[in-house]
Amino acid sequence: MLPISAGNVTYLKPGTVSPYVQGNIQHVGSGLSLSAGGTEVELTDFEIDPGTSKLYGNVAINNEPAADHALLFQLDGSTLKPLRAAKKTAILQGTKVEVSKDAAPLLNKTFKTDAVKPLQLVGIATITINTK
Amino acid sequence: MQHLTTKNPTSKRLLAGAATATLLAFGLTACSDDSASSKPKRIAQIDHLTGRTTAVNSTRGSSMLSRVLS
Repeated sequence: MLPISAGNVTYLKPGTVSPYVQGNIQHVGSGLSLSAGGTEVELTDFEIDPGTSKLYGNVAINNEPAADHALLFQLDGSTLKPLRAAKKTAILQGTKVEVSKDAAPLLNKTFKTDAVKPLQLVGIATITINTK
Repeated sequence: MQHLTTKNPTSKRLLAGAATATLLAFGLTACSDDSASSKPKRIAQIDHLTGRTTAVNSTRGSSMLSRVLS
């Protein structure tokens, strides 16, 4: 779970424009850690741009900064479900999170592997927004 | 995040109506109906976001995701 630290979202009428969710969703102070073979890659401070379907973040390798605001994941919203409301929240669910074409070769080089493929699916995102 | 494919116009209207009602019920900023113009119709705008994002691991490719930092 990555806490949303700031941002804004505009929800447009589906079908009138693509993408119909636009804005900026920041996750400063949190992230993911990837580790294998004694190497650790930390991906932090995620920033989602729904308008371009891209997720950016900072990269550190073995605690050394390696890149700022790098394109880490590509988002595929074609499977996004309509906005729905729950208790004091609005939920956007169904976006595919894929390894970006930029990140895949860098991860392979760092971990000395060829296992990471561009646009490889790593998960299905759920964005839960507090409304009260 | 991209568009939801809905080919049925009635479904689109129902979806937009339901979404608007839902957002109003939960205190979001609902926008005026500007369907007469060519601009995309804004259903809601949410500023000063708080909340959370999760991603369910769905493939073997996600096995490298070993730890969530917080």
